[in-house]
Amino acid sequence: MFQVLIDSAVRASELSLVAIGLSLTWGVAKFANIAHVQYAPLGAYLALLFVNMFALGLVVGAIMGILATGLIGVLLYRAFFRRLVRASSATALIGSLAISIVITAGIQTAAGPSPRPLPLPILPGIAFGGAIITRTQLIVIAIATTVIIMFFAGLMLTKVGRSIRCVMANADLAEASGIDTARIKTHVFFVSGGMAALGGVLLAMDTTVSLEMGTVLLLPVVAAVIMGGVGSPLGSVAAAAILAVVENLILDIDFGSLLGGETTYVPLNYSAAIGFVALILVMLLKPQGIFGFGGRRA
Amino acid sequence: MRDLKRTATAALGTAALATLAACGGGGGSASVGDDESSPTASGESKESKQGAVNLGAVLPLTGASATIGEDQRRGIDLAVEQINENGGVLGKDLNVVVEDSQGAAASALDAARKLVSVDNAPVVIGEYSSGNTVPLGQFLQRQGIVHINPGSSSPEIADIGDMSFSTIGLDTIAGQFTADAVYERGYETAAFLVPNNSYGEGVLKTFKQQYEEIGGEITSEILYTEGQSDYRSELQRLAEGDPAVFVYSAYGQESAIINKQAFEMGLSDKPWFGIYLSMTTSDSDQATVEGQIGMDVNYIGPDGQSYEEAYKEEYGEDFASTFSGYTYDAVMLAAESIEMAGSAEPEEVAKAMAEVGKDFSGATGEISLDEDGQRTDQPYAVLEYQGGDLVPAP
Repeated sequence: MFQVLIDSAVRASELSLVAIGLSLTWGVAKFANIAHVQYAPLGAYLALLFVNMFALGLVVGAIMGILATGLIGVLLYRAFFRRLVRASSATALIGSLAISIVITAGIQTAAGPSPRPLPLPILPGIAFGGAIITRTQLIVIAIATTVIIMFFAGLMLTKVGRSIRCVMANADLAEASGIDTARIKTHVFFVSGGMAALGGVLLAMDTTVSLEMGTVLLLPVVAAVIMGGVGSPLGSVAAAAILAVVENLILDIDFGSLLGGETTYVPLNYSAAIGFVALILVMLLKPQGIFGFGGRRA
Repeated sequence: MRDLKRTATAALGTAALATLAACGGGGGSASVGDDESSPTASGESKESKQGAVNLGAVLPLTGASATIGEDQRRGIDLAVEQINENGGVLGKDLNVVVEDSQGAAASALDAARKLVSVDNAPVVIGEYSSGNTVPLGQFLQRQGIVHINPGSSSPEIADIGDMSFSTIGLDTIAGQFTADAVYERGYETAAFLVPNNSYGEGVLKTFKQQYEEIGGEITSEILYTEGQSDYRSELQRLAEGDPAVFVYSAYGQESAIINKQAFEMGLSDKPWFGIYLSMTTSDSDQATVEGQIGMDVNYIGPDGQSYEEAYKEEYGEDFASTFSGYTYDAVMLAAESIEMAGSAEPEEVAKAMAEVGKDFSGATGEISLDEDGQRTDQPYAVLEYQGGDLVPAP
């Protein structure tokens, strides 16, 4: 049981960091940026590149990778998505799908298709209460929690944070009341790209960085954002946590014994379907998100 | 506005599905880079040569098995060099056009299509993973081109057809050998982890049959999805039945992740037995696989000394994997068959190969092909990983 909690905490950390940014940019710029999930592998690969190319430590390399991804996020928005979203949010969505494919192809050309580990020492995990947690996982949870708390503190307590919330609620009204919405959107895309990249780096530290990382993240992240209510970062964190627990719990339950039969577990390959089922249920039953914050917006 | 949002949400869901479908092939199915952009480490010509006999090869030069693929290419290069020093085939130079499969079936087929239609290769050698070799062989069979399998071991390969040959033994014998070797070492319960493809299924079936017959018990069987970045759930399931030994097989870099995570989870305190140990340890961190035992093809036969020396001289190191000898033998077999057929027509070559292959002395030992074109006797060895090298296990 401990193991389920640990695994869920790690998973929720990684999902939340990516989901917050998608929810935020969706709320501010009014389109779903599919390419957002690709910022995770992009950040991790850039970190790896900086570490290898300039012989930097992992921390410095990771920070540079995260900043670079944030900048790329801003550039893509300003050069590309901003124009498309003027046509319609569906056009921007299709455009972001194209960008997503281009990013994957770019990484494959530059780094090849094999998964790669980040340069971290391999140490035996720490056992307690029948569960095992690695030092890396502890670091992942600590960093993610700190960053998420800092983000919400910034969003709720600072002037920029308040402006972001205003733009999410009603961009025209915000503009009319003297908020520089273009500047705010730039901030949002930078922070969102950076947080997704951080999520990618943490995921890569915990496992490996692979070409498929973004594609594999797409479903659970989109599920978390829609479940949490579009434009509600807090909702997506909560939804990511729920998804993470369900994903791990369902694999851990011996359904056979529960029903009085032989030991039968859900096949591992089915865990990916959980986000899928969640997404379908939410879209059918409560498209504005189970936390209902979505209705607040115009 | 609410309707608009609902539409946008639905559109996003659809797009998510579309992306998943597009990328569902896993592995390198997102292949956009063209062949020319793939790095070719040895500078080997990838073009067919005018006035030469051009053969083809499809190898995993990138992807999870890249280390092995590169070594397979070395075997080909050495064979081509030796054949051309001795006058080539049909009075012409021999040339092998090597294409990258990226370790994925779709790209392997693209590469084969190019070799058949652009280079007019009568013989194509490949691949390494059975999941790619089987579709590759079936494609070549349909095209009427000779296929030589130098590295895969799924029993399905025997069913491809009369144009398909193997210079390596299939798992009908490998699974049995493993079961005996594991049981003889006193391990009466085993957990089993292999990739979810024709190789994994084949080796699981033959291992299980033999192991249970001699009295062993399998505590859990896991077929893992290839190309994942995390195998902790698989490993947790694997450990559940408290087996005496973990028996596993995984491709180079996937194996590296599995070994790393097993080490972190404390599972490496128990004995691990690798099927094709050179494959499962080639990319793994040394500390995580120290002391593992396993089986592998015995890669050097009584007549293989000259090949071993040529390899060491050319590359300045011991064999990087156990698989280069089989591609070397594949090229040698193809060359001799073309010479005997007196032409490079695929039909003629296949007929000659069935004859030549009845009794062929290769670098990897005596090769005698059965009526399905498959190698009948394959010598195996039990090895142990010690400080970065594979040594005969005590």
